[in-house]
Amino acid sequence: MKFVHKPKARRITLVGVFVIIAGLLLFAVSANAAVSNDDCMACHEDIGDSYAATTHGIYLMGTSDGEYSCESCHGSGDAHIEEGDAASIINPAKMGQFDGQETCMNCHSGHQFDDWAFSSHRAAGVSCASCHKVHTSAQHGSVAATPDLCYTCHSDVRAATHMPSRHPIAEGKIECLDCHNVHGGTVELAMDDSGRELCFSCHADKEGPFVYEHAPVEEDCMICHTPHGAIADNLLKQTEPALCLNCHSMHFHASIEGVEGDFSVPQAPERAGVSSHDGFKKAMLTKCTQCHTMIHGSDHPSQAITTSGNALTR
Amino acid sequence: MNRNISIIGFALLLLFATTMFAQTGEGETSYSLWLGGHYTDFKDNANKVGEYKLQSDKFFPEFKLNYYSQTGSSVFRLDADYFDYENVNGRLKTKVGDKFKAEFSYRSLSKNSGMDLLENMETRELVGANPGGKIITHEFLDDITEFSIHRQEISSKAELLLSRKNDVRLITAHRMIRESGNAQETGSTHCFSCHLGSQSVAVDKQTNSFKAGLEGKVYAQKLAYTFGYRKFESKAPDAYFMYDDARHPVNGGAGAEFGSRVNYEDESLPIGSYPETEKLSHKVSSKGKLGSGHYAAAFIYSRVENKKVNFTNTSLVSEVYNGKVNYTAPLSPSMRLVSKLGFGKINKTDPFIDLAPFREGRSGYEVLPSFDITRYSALDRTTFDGSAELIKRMNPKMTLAFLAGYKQVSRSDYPIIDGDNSSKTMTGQLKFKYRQGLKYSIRAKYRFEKTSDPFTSARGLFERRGREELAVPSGFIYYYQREDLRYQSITSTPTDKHELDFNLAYRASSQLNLTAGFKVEYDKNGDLDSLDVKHSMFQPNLNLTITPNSEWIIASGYMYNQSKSRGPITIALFDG
Amino acid sequence: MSINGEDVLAARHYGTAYAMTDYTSTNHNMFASVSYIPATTLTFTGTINLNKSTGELDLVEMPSVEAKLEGGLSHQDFTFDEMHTYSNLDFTTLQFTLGMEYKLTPTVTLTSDIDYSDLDDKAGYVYGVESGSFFMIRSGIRFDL
Repeated sequence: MKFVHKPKARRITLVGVFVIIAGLLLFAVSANAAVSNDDCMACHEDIGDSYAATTHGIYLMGTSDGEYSCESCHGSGDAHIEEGDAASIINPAKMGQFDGQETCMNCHSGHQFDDWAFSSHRAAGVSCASCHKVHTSAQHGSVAATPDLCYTCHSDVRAATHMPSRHPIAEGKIECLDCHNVHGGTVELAMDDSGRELCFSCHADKEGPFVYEHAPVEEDCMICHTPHGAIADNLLKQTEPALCLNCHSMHFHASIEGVEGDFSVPQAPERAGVSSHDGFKKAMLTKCTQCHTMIHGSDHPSQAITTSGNALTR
Repeated sequence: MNRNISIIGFALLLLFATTMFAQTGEGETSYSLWLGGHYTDFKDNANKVGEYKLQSDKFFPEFKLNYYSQTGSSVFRLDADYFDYENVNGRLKTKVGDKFKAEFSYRSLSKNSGMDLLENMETRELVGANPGGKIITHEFLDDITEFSIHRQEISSKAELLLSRKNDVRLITAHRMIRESGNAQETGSTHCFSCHLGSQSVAVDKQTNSFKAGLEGKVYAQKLAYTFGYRKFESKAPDAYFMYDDARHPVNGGAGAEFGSRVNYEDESLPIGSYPETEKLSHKVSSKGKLGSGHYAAAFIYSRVENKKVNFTNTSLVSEVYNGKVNYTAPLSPSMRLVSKLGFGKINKTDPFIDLAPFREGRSGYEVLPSFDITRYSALDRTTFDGSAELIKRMNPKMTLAFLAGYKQVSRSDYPIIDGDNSSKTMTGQLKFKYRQGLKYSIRAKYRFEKTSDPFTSARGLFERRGREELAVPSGFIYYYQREDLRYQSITSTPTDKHELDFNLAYRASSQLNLTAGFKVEYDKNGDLDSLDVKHSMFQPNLNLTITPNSEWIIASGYMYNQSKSRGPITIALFDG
Repeated sequence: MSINGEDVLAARHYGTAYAMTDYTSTNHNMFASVSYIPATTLTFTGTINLNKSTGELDLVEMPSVEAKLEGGLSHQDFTFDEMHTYSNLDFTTLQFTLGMEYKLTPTVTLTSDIDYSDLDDKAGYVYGVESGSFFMIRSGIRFDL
């Protein structure tokens, strides 16, 4: 088919193109006629007065004009200004797991948040604003300081940290964040995902591998220990020997009757003491680790051959 | 006094240093310097009440310094707190836009331990009306009665943006933990009498951990590789303990017989020593969008080696392979799925332990067993776990979540007789959350776990009754025989576990907030034949916050916890 | 009896005795914190924490083993009536703090506080009775710039 040049048709085409471009430009301009920060501050004076000194305020002022504004987090403010209705504007503080990815994550996407989407906190409906303040200085960016912030929901832990045996959380010597990644995942210097690694990342002396091992140490530290606080020493769930007797029979020497009164060892008189009828029971049924000192494992065989050196006494 | 002057001088130096970092222009800068001191007084046995305090009755100068500066996207922050010479904290953080951020911190604490008086370790056997041969004694090998550890931790981390295009970042972290001081160490020898020797030993443990990684984005997927390294070593000299020569405690005889039953005698040997270990790990991970949801996946290999023992042709090593894939996606505008899958494999060296022959050269030696063993590790295993949680927003006030999970731990070389080498755990969990505006909210959770063949201490209990099996070719009784007779496996881990957690937060007025709740846990082990092993826990709590006016804030709380554990207390009816 | 034709003696072993026994831990924890700001320049704070903890093994009631022993093991004693007293724990801890801050000028603040802790050990363990107390008084001046 031959193309016929028609000047009138070309004019119409040009006008049409111009109108379309102008229309698009006008639409774009109107779409970009964003609500300015000043518009927001007109009503939200309380935030406006202090905003310049906040982390976000200072940061945004340091970036190129228009790159970030109130609308960066809150979305378009047109409808909100027109209607004055709180429901007509995005409030990231009220957004949760059903509202897609949280607004904060658009910028705060570092590796520490890799597991946030799968974390227990998120699944429990905890949002960023549950713990963090947004319109305030980073110096005071949390709702409260830890551990009090964590105690807001985990009040049982507060009590545990005042028990006779405890990690020094109440003393302010370690923090909740030393063991718990509140954003999901493991702590910073955990070497793998095995259950015991969290404890070994600080208590590496207990990891081994040892020549002689104690099976529950290999299985789970929490079989014997409780992490926040305990009545028994060394964060044990029960006092020795009750804890040990859960899995072991008592030392068979515990049935020996003792003499009453002073005694000394005939072949070594300097070794002496006061004996009682229950002396062997007291010796064998008070604290097992008085003799079984290397309870987490050892490379040295114990003295008797008949246990294959596996008594963890040396 | 010189120390005090230097502390105050150090505080002023820090203040001066921070002013050097002060930046001009738009931003925020604030300082706070606190100078003061404290006097401490300890009474009676304060090892427990003052476990984490430097036990010294005297005056200590003290200071705190906080400095904060932010200009644009650059932040500098310093927090320092000197309490006494064993309790010092400092943290320095800096950030330059999104290009670089770094953190350095130091903290230290002191920890006191009580002294085991070993008063229960003295007695002598009664045989009829006469003193017998078995004797327990103890002895303090030095006069030191105070034991404490000074723990210091230095850590640093840094993140550097290498390429903005693919958001490529270099991430490094390091931490050194040092525990130094002294501890009570006890050695025990049981030939010729059972004798415990207690001494103060030097402690100097160091753990260095290091991490370096690269992360970046490739086609909107975030990829990362991280290398990890940890080294533990005890730099304190080994403590030694003298093991007696073996002989009868009463008449000094039978040395050859007793000596033939022990691995060592009449020797001073190291006790309580810790192996030097090195651990390294490699982790590759990826995360990003997948369909309408997000995924995160990681694979980790780690290897830890005991550098102190040296078996012929083998080193003592534990290797871990972990993999996980997590996926979350909205199933509808009001329903979300969170699913997790993981697997793991752990291999540990099974060293052959060559011990001295038992009763070599004594009568009947030929028919006695060898006690050399290949030590199979309880850690060797293959694991698999998976869970899926459905979270449903029923309406703007109420959310329900249901989780189902499965975990299998298959152990190699698991010496349970008639047991399954695999522990299989089914988990179910239901969570409920209801919020009525600011007036009140309710959270409730019920969780159960059902496990077949949970972790068990193999043949830890009970000897079979029987004389024949104990027959030996002499009049002596050998303790290994009762080890052979043990048949009952035992555990404190449950087959059935139930947890219930309930919380109510109630805002009675603008001046009174109340939270109340309780936790109940119950578990039992149904696999242990006649043994009724079970645990229970009941824990109610009540918290009140009262703000009668702007001048007063009162917060208070009460929690009660009762935990019960039922297990067997067992004794062999044996000639001890 | 004999092994390899050699007459041997038999060791005396009569099986096992056991008693299912409860171990009970209890913990009462009460805390209160008060903040009182009578003027913008003056703040008082106080905290109190009371903790009562016990860990107890029940009386170990071993079954009678006389019938099993058949007259053997005459020098052994298989009763454990006192065992539960060896390792029981009973601690009461009182912790108390009081603090005061007085703003001398907008940038200069005077602070004082005391910290008192007392532990009452009613049971004792291998470390002896660990009752003791700790007291600290602290004062200083803060410059906010």
